[in-house]
Amino acid sequence: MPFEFQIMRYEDYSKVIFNAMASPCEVLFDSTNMAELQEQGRLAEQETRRIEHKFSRYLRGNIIDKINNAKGHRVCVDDETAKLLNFAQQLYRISDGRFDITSGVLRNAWHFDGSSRLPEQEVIDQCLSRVGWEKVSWQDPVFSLPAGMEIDLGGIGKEYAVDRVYGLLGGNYSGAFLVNFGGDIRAKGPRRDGEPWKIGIEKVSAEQRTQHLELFTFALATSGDSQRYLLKDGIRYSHILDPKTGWPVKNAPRSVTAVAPTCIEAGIYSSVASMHGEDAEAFLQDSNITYWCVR
Amino acid sequence: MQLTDNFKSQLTLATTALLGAAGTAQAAGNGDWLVESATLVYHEWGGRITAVEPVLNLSTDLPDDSTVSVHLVFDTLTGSSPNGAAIANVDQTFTGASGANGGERAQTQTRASGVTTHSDDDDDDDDDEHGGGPYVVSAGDVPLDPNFSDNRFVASLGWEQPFENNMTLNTGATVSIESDFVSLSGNAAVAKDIFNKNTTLSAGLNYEFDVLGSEHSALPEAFSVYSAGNSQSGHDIKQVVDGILGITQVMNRRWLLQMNYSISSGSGYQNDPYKIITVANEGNLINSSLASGGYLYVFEKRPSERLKQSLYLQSNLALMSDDVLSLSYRHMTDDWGIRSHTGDVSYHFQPTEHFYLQPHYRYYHQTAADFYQPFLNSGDEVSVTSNSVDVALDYASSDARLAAFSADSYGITVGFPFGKDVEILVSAEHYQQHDLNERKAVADGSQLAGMDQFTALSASWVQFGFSYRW
Repeated sequence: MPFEFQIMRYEDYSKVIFNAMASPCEVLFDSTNMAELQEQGRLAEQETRRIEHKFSRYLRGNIIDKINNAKGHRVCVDDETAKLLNFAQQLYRISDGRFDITSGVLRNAWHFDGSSRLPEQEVIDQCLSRVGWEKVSWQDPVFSLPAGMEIDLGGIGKEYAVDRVYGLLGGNYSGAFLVNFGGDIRAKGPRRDGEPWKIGIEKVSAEQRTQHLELFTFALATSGDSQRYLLKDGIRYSHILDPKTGWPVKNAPRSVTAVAPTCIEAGIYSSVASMHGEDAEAFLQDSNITYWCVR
Repeated sequence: MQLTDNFKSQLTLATTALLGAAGTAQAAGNGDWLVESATLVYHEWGGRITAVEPVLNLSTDLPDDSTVSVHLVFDTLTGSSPNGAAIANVDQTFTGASGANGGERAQTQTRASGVTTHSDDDDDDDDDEHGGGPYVVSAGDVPLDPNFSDNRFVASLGWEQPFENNMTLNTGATVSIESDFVSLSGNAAVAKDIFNKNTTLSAGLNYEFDVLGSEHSALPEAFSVYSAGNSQSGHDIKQVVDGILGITQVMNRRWLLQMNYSISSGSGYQNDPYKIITVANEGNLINSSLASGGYLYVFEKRPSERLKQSLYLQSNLALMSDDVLSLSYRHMTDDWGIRSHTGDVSYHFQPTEHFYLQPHYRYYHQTAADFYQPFLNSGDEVSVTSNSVDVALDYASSDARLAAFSADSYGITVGFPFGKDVEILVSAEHYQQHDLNERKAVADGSQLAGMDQFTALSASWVQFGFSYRW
């Protein structure tokens, strides 16, 4: 039975849990004061649901739906959407087109169900004609998308929500806390006893050891999913698609975890690194950040 | 991999821009108002007009993607304005005709709005207001009416709505009110983006309806003798229809070209009710009993129809990171015989995010209207008898704005944008006319001999502006 909002109290900390953005969302507070937790937890939940309602591509009537269904017409966007679009535009440029919020259309061609069914090149080409940030027109605050194209902020939405909630709580709550939305994490430390937060990184294969991290104030995000791939003729096709070719990135790590000052940066490092395929580690090393790659 | 350093710093920058002031509860969204205010101080050199003009612009986006804007201006004009009489080497007394208390103002803000139009011609009618009272102009001085004073209030409302198929519709309405002049106008324009939005086609229409004169200040009859007791013709109206067709072409990411053709047809009362013309006999002023004992002047007369056409070209080129070089040229002709050329160049120099400089130069040149006359001669042009004055010409005006002249304007704007939401700017401009008229022959040794027939206008203005979003 799914729950809406729950507070769990442990010996020296508490956890607020709610479900949003298709993920379990947790906020850990270094406190056991229930009244305070109730208030801060609700604040975190409201902000998360606000972002989900505003930017989820699955919901009708929000700004993303409006843009995706404008059939080529111009849409005037608000400040927050404008900032996200500016961010997406910047990222498209600096990632050399690897990060592209219009690439979601490629999902229509690929179904990563563990099978060996690869799509026809014709189908991929058809999708590719509707992909590419360079085809959109974005002049703050007016956005327009050629008919048939779509944008999807799924690649940064959860990380953005983590950072927003972190900022909101940081302005209201003086203690240590940790925001964890389905593995995208941002934490403020140290805890009252001077200790760091302890994080376990899930193993993706049986032979792998579970990694334990001890961190004070940090953000972390993971990209990759061992369950989503296609296998044909001995080649494992990861679900990470290159928006330029429409094909899965070759030799992408099965999972990349990156540590950065904010969750959205961590998310970008991990997803852009994955898109570098066999050069993922080199890219992360050059960026001089802490990371874990699983191949 | 050599790009990763760049990647890291760019990502940090982009993230800072995105998350910015973390912890603030909620972005404002639609409904922000952009407020722009400016105060213009205009001064004509040589003891002429001073104007102070506060302007307020408000605009906001509505939830249905349309934009509504409100534009308000309140003008206070004081000073002196040329009355049209010729400079003579004797003192001239002007009685201040009782009928002439008011003025006319051509709308310069509202023409075919919604489609970008530019710098109106220098010959366009400007501000002429007048209070009564006799005044004396010394020998050799430009006859200026010192009783120039009026207030003007302008309000306009605009609405822009993006539509299907890359269409945008702009509509608007304006009202302008002075003590003796009311102008109402409405406009509509459509723009359509084609070829992947690299080309924008636009078409617009503007209709203006003006009522001139008021209960207190009726209009003088054209070519009637200027005197304290001249006849009056009450109210009159003028209508102007403007049409504009434009094309804007994105040449590449840094270069934009624009071309507009516009046509304007005006009909009705086109005279300036405060402009008079000296009638001279062999270069000497005429004492006439019809002019209440003063010298003889007649009110001007212009055709009641005017058709103007103009072609406008503009190029905007982005240079360096944020600099913009703008060049434009405009050619205008009308059926009054005026043909004008305007060239304009400005450079937007933006060395930092929070500071820019924009020097500006404009050159203007126009030929005179066919009926421009610095003064009229009795005889061929005006038949003067002891009890009648009949002008033999169809039309005549001594208004310097219908003469042949060129003009240079130099200006500079300094702006201080603070973030996306606040901007302060100061601009200063100087305008200088040059006489290009052929002298009308005057008898040697007469009162008009050796006198300037055209007085080049020199004006300066300073504008202080402030805009913010709230």
